[in-house]
Amino acid sequence: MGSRLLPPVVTGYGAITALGENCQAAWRNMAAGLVCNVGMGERFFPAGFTAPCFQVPSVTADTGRSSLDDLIPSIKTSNRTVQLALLAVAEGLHRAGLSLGELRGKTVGIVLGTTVGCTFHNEEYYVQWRHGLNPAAEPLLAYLSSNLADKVREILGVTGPGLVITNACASGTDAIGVAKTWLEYGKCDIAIAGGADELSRVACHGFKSLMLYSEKSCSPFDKDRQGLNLGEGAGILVLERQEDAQRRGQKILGRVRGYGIAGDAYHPTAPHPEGYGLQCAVKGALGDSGLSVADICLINAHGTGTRVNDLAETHAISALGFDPDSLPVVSTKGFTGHTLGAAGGVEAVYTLMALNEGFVFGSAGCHELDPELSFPVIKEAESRVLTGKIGMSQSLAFGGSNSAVVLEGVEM
Amino acid sequence: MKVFVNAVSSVRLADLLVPVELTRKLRRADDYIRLAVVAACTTMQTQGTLTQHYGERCGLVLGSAFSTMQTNFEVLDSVVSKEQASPTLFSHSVFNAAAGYVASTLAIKGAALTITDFCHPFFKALEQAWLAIMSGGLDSCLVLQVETYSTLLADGRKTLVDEGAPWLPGVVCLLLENKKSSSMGLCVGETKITSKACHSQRLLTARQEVTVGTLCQTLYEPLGAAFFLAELLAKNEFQGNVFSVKSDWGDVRLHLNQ
Repeated sequence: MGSRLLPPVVTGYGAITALGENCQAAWRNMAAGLVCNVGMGERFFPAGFTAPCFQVPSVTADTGRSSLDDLIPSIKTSNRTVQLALLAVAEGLHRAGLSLGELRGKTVGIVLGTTVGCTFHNEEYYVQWRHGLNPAAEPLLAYLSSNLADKVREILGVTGPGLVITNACASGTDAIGVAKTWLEYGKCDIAIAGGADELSRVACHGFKSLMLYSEKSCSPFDKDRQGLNLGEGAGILVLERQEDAQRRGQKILGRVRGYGIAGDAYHPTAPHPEGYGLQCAVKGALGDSGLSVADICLINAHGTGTRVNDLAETHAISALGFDPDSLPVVSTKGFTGHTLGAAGGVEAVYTLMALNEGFVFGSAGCHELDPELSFPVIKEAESRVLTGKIGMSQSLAFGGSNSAVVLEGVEM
Repeated sequence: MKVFVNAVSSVRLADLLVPVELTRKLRRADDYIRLAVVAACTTMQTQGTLTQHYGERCGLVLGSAFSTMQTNFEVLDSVVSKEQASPTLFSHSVFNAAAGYVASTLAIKGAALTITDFCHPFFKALEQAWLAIMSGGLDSCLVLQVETYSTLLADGRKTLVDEGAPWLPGVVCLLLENKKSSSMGLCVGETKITSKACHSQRLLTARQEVTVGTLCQTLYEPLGAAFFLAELLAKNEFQGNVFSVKSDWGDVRLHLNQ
């Protein structure tokens, strides 16, 4: 293994969520304060329970990028998680100025996080099988050919390492961290990293059973919050080594400066009450980046809207020594819902956009802060001009896994 | 920096014995979690230094082809039956639940990654663990592959493929460290993994050709190559310095040196 190279630069990013079909639309809708969730009844939840989900209104095959038109037939025939991923990838590659032809001459690492995207959840097949029938094999074969990273690589027609990370809600953040390491140690020339996930009945039923699902629009950090709402989407970064981006004259849109991951070793589903693992992950990410808490001008929190998450997360931020008078902390899940394996990717993209714009919107749904929070959060009605270019996106997951990435924006 | 394999364990579900000290911890766990936790604890104990490993410098990377498929179907069953899902079942159906159990049992507070991949999940996990140690992020790391498959999958295989015996649930676990601390102590080099597209039906054969020195074997299950490697290491019978796997979905070349 060669010596470590400089942290990678971001040359492209793309995201699709209920907030917007691309980054531009999402930013515009955040500015307008749009919360685009829809009430879901028995289609997603047990009978007698209705709650909002953040569903992407339409997944169209039109990438809007002529250089990526080759992708359209594949987008049309893929499963929903792959479709969401491909649309974010198409946006990211377009922004990075990379055609499929250019990409095919390089070693492309693809690291994607997901949860639902790795499960076989074809209900028709399952019900037939359970009733002793012999269901048609196509759904099972389609599942076997739909490993997210392999599928995206196959559709893009590229070669290089691939990995699917299934670290629950931290999967997307971990995917970006792994891609950073791959580029630093020369395992690939370009990395496509982030996460994608579709809405699932199993996840909706599951979070309802854990009494973590809010019947009203989710309101992270608010004193009256009831829990989370699920969402779907995808968010990816296109990462390269700086010299490669400069060689092809591509504008640099940011940097992934640091990554940290640590475990609570505490409970299968609940975070450590003081956010022990998150504190270690943030310290790790800062150490990896060579920066300190004073350098961070924005934290995009995991901010699910569950009481245990919000308290643990703000406790960790406070214990790490961030300045409550100057550091804006926000959650974007009030705009997108909790997109599970996609969340880390989506939130990294939105964090970088805020850093590049020098401005962050308040946390949708948060009207009055929970007085038990250990660190203040920017409320919905507020917004903040950022005082620097370096921020952090953090994720907490089932299994006690915690991750953080340090991102650096650029002057636009 | 060098990375060494210092301990190994593997067990089939049919042979799994949960130690008394783990019975309370695992009383509600499914087979997938029980396999992972017992193998991780056994691996640490065979090295005799269990308490030295916990903390932030120790991590784990768990790979699987089918992950918690059986438990997922049990949750799906309640969904299609219009019944309340069990919160315990749901939390155990999350793919990194087993990693969470292992971490909390052994107080592992470093990186814990779960990888789901039909193509060589054990070797992809090994590659990430190796990279985490080589880059200085960890001092030690457990590498696991756990498979429990599912009844639905077994029935699907019967319909779609006619070669190979039934897949047996089980687990393989290695301990990698940045120093040699056991008589096994093989030095791990870089792992080369190539992937190629293949018809998904071929994945259901799981046919892999494994070569180590003069030994060649054809295996027919997703855990096959990892199990074969673990057994060679446990018996101190590893020959040569390359462990190679060839399959329709890609190849692996793992360098292991005395």
